[in-house]
Amino acid sequence: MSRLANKVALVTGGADGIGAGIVRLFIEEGAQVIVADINRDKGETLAGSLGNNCHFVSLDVTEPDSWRAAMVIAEEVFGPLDILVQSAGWSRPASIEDATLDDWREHMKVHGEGAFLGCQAAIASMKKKAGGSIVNISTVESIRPGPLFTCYGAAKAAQDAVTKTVALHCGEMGYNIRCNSLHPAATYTPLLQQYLQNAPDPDALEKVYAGMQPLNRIASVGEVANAALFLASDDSSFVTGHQMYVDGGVLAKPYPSGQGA
Amino acid sequence: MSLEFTGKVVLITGAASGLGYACAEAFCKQGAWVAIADISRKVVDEAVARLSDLPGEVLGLVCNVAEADQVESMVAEVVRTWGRLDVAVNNAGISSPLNPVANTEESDFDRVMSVNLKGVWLCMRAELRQMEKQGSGSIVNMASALSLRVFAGGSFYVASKFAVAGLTRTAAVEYAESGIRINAVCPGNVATPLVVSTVSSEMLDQLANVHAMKRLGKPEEIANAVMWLASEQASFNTGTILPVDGGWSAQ
Repeated sequence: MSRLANKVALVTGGADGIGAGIVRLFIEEGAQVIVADINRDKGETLAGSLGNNCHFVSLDVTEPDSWRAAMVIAEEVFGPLDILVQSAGWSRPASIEDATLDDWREHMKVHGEGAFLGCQAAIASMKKKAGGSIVNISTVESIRPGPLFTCYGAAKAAQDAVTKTVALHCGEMGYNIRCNSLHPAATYTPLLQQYLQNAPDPDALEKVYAGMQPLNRIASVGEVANAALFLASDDSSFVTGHQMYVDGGVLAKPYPSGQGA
Repeated sequence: MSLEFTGKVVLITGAASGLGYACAEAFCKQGAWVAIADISRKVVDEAVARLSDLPGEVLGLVCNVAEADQVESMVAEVVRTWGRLDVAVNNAGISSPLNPVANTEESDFDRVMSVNLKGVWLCMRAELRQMEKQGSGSIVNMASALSLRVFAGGSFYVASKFAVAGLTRTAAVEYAESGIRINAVCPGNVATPLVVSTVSSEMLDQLANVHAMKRLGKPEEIANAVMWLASEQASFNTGTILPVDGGWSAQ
């Protein structure tokens, strides 16, 4: 299939997890993809395995200079962006009593400032073309945070506000740049797999994670990537400012654990 | 959009015109077998004739979705003809006269609710009974940006569309482990042939300007979203309320 033929995409956090799944799918769909990541080894390995339509750039999403340098390289290699996917992210679960101010600041920096800088960079690049699509990877925790996601939930909610205001601004300005967020629930990323494997009883913990979703399973990276493809492609050309849940029904439930039903 | 619908059995209500017809056309182009249901034989036959050159197969059905026995017959006829029901798009809906609540009429309430809410419920009930037997299926309800935002004067329509969103999410949770996904699309103001031919250009501008994108939606943009949710691409989406509204509901 070629739903992204002639499109140039940059994927932050593209070396690993959901980001890497999106990179692979976008390449299959005919896009030229910049893998932007802070992890050079993993990013170069992935880009190297995907041929001439994939290129790695080093990017720390929290640093304006790093964004500037990455965008110069991206535009030199494939030209201005049609698509930005912001998948770079990080989380350290902790309650309000256990989290430190440094935790708070680090979450805000990666998710809030990262999204802010990324949208600025993408809009500047997409204005050189006829428009574009920004997909910010958020989480169900931004909509309905659990008790251990004080910092992560708040930072992702900040990112969501950036998404919406970017959508509204670009609409008002007539840029034909759309901006949406994608909210996965539990997803089989390498990080989650490792976490499950290290548990005393991996099967029991996996059942707990699966049971949070009405579909009673954990999403595959591919399922989240499919939703990113829909939002990135022209198939969603009238969708902007939307928070798309890819959550197996979690947010349709009265309460995440099901206890409140 | 290219998704896997070859030989999939799709039922669309209100399919003879507007968004329903756009969905029917889109599914037919992907090779689906599409049952076109609408209120009168004449409009159904016309739609079937227009769709007959496309790759998929077409079956015309007359149904008033507000009548339980007609809905049961409609679903039964699809299953009798093609043996199953893979996708249902519950699209049939009507508008309400614009009046503030104190000036509204009971007959208008009953009419709007009977089609927009009771109709969707009756269709879902019949479709789910079939899909449960199969252990699979995907339902997409046509909600509205007015499932998420209000429009002064349109209380019956707004209430009916809020209710469709509630019905969608409740059923999604109920059937999540039955292999059946249930989602809704919320269109903004769309340039359907009827709207473009009957609404003044001044009013069209007003309708466009409620969207952040400052244009009207195209029928095929709504159909693309319906097809995406109906397809295996959206295999982890259930209970999703997807606005296709140019950013209206983001404001």
